[in-house]
Amino acid sequence: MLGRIGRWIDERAHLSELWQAQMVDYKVPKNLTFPYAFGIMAIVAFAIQIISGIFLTMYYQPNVHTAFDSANYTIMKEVPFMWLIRHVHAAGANFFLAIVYLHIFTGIYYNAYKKPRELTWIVGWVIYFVLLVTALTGYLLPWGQLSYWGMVVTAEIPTSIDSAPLIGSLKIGETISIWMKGGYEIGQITLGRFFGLHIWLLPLILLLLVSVHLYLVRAAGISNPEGREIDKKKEGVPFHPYMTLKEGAYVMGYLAVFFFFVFFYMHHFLPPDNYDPADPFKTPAHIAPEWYLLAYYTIFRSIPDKFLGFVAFNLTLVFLLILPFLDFSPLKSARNRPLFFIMFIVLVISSMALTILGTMPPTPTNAMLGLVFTAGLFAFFLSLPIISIIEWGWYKARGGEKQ
Amino acid sequence: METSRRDLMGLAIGGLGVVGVLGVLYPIVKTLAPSAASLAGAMMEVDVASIPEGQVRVVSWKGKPVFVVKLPQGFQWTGKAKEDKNAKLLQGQDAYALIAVCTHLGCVPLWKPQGEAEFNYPVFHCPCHGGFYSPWGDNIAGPPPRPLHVPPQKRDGSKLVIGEPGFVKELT
Ligand code: FES
Repeated sequence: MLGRIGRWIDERAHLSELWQAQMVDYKVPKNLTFPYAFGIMAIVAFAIQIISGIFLTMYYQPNVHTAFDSANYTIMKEVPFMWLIRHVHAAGANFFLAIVYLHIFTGIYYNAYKKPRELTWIVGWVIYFVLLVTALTGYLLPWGQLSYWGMVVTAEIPTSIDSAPLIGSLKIGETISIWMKGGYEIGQITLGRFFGLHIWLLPLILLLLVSVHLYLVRAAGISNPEGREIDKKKEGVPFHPYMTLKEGAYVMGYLAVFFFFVFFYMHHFLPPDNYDPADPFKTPAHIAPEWYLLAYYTIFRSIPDKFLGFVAFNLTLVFLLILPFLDFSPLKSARNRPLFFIMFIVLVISSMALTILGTMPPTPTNAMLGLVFTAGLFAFFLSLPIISIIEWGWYKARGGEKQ
Repeated sequence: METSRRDLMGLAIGGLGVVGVLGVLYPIVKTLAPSAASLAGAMMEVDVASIPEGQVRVVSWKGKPVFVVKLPQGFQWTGKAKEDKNAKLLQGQDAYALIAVCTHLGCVPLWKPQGEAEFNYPVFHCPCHGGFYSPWGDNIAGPPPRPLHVPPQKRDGSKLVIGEPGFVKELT
């Protein structure tokens, strides 16, 4: 009976043809390593955020007088199992970003941004950027002390433009800051618009971008950890069942770790300070942004000049965007590029150090260290053209194509 | 003939499309502009003559509480502050505005014209953790790390205009 229903649908929707073409006849390199699973994990994390988010909107009230209570009383105490949904959403945001960072670093390591995958990288960068904004807007909604003051600080960042030499007098920064908040203070208007952006606009944009990203991955083919394009007929393995099962297993492992945190280790994702309602007249002693922004924050505050700090942290984002054009070496994958590998290590150490420094108080020593690791981060990006030129030399010496 | 007419049609339709898209985007983006209520608070005029000498009035500017201090004629202050940044900035003014947010943890200090505790001269006292400020907002004692912020302000006859550069140009 079931089989007949299946056949009936298949004759009309041609699903098995689709499956055959997209999953079985789709050949991928057989030497894909574990880090290639971060992409699918990110998709799972995204799905978790959407599902848990939909349920949260049913009980959350985007109003400055009721937001805190709806999040911490209605959701956490009154409605059955909503505490679980909120835990999933709060921890999920952190896991999502963590996976995205791993995914980005994997892409850098294997040079997955090189021809013909530049566009995949650029769309990925936009996803990352929109994701940061999504996380930022969502963080304001519980209307706790950290939510509020974190946003006060974030909305002040654009005003650094106003301390620039010439353009400073135009007050562009203050204008941006006011447009972010919808007025001079963070209040009902800010909360309302952040709610709208967070639950509708930004997720829809993300959905669209992720689809484009996936399409582009398929269009260019999956990169190879060895750094060469495969002859799909001879060297590829069918996506199903080889990759589906392998990645399925990894995803199960990921979910196990995720739910361990959700049930037993939530205090970092719902910090105690945020269980105090927002008070515009009481700044908490320590306000630092969420961990996924700490590296930028350290760059920003280590540089003694406010405007230069602002430039430096935006430059980091720009470097990331134009990475495919900074690195024009004919070689792919850090496995074949010893010089690149060394600089990649510098990048990893610098970004981790910057993140850790962001949690520490801004003493002069920490500012010094911040500068050192900012230099390390920039050194990675700026060394790429040099390494590329050297590698072109090697490549030609070994009889590679003429440039 | 045939093609050029079609080209013209194409151009006209494309042009109309662009105008339409702009017409839709403009109001949508504009909804994010600051609200009228908020902008109305960007400038605050206070009639200084109506404040009794030696008294403080609390007004609101850009959503923050602001003290407007009116000093008596020939005001002498016998106390000593940790810094004199604000005093230098505001010297010679008989009325001026200070942001009424304690630089420690953000409470609103109280004006004590008769003094408070061991300070027997006019001070601002922050009740939350015992911060003390001079009448110019320089921190005297307690946990506040720096003087009260001073908003941009100018004097216009008997009016003090908060939010426009004058004898104080920028928020300090
Ligand atoms: S808030 Fe004023 S002294 Fe602590």
